[in-house]
Amino acid sequence: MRASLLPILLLVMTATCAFAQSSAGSDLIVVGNDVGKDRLTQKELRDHFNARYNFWKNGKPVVVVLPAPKSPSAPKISEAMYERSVTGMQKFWLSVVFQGRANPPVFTESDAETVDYVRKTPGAIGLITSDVPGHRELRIAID
Amino acid sequence: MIKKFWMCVVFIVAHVLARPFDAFAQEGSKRINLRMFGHTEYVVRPDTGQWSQYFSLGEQDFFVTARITDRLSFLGETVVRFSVMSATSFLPSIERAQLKYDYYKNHSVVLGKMHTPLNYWNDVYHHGRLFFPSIDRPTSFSYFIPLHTLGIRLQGQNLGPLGLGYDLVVGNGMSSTDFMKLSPHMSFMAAAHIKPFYGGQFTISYYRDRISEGVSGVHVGHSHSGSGYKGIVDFQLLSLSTVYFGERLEILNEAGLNINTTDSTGTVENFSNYTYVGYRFKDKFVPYVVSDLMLVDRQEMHSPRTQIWHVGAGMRYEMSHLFNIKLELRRSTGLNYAVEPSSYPEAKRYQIKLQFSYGF
Repeated sequence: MRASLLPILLLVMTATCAFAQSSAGSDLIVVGNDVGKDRLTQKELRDHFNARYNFWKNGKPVVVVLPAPKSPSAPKISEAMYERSVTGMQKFWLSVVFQGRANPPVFTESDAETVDYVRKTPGAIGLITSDVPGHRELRIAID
Repeated sequence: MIKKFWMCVVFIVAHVLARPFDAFAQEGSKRINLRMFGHTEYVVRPDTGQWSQYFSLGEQDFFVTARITDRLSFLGETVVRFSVMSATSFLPSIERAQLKYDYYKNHSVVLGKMHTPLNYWNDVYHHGRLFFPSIDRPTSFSYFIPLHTLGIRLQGQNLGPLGLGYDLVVGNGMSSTDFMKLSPHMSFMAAAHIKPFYGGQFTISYYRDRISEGVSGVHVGHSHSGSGYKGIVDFQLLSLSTVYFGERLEILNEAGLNINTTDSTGTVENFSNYTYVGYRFKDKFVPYVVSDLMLVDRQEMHSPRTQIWHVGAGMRYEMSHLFNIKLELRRSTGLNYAVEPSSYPEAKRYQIKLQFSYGF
């Protein structure tokens, strides 16, 4: 009986490790403007990046800011938020917008542009991979 | 039920009017997106006893979205496609023109012409060949699926841990045009779906309409030719969608039960079932198989009396999210009193299609 449980235990451990590696907490920085909170859970972060919510709890519209396909941070962010390639992330959003169920995200060419856009847009949330000047007051902690 | 629906609509309109109008003047929230989708095909098939081959220019789809205010948005889709009514063989058609107002969290009201959200395919793909998992949509879409509705819709999505969603639609119905109708009857549709896990979705819906004088307007399948019946048809459609699009495995099943009642033949039942199974490898390649069955009753008075079964196998190559190529071999078998393939009743027909789908 114990021997039969071992593979299941290994499978669960492997899945847990895989999830931990793909979490946004390690090397991605979350920036947001007037989103009604300064901390988000991993699940909340992913839900917002996966077009599951139209509005924040404070009533501001959710504006997702993503890296353009050729941005250096695009592969890392698409893997962390969508567990897909950059093409997969683009396809996901194209499909959701085509359905008419969500507003399209904003694509930026660099981390600096992401920070700049988020600063100017209440309700905007984005991810950056480098220490861009001015991002600290926008930073959102991830639990 | 209809009365409650309209009370709800009145409540929402009152809610909209009660909001401060300065929210509508936020220029910074205006955003417009323009896109185009299209496809071209190369087809090989046996018509009149010998093989034929040809290129075919598919639908050219002009798609626009605009965020007018934080809560109000517009979606428009105009398609130019083949039509025997045109001297150039192509005519434009407004496929969607809808205003959406997000009145509370994930709850919205949609007004205008929309894709009837009665099953996954019609809600998610419709004209977007770029998104189609296989080359063609289910056969039933050309017969008894009410593709569009011009009316009003209450929508909710991603509610609770199961990702519950609902759609309630009241519209002009299948016998109307986009401009008017002569009947007092409205169509009604209720749909619910859940997304219990990543990539999975289950949808159930019920649609009812009272079709006046057997008229098939612009909101049914585009190749629907009608049966010529001039009586009133009480049209009901129950649809079920089962979907899983995972990292590798892709499964889609669309089932429909259409119940039509007329004074002439009483109640008849028509059935359709489309199944797609694909498996992704090396990120861009998806080999797949398709089964598409449609059984229309012998006593049916509204839809063409067709019984046909398509089976196919193909490969989809996704070069990017804006371009893909599909190659599919399909075998169509007319069952019993089949009308289609019209030139080969009772016969089997093979068809090879190569489709290039693009968007930008």
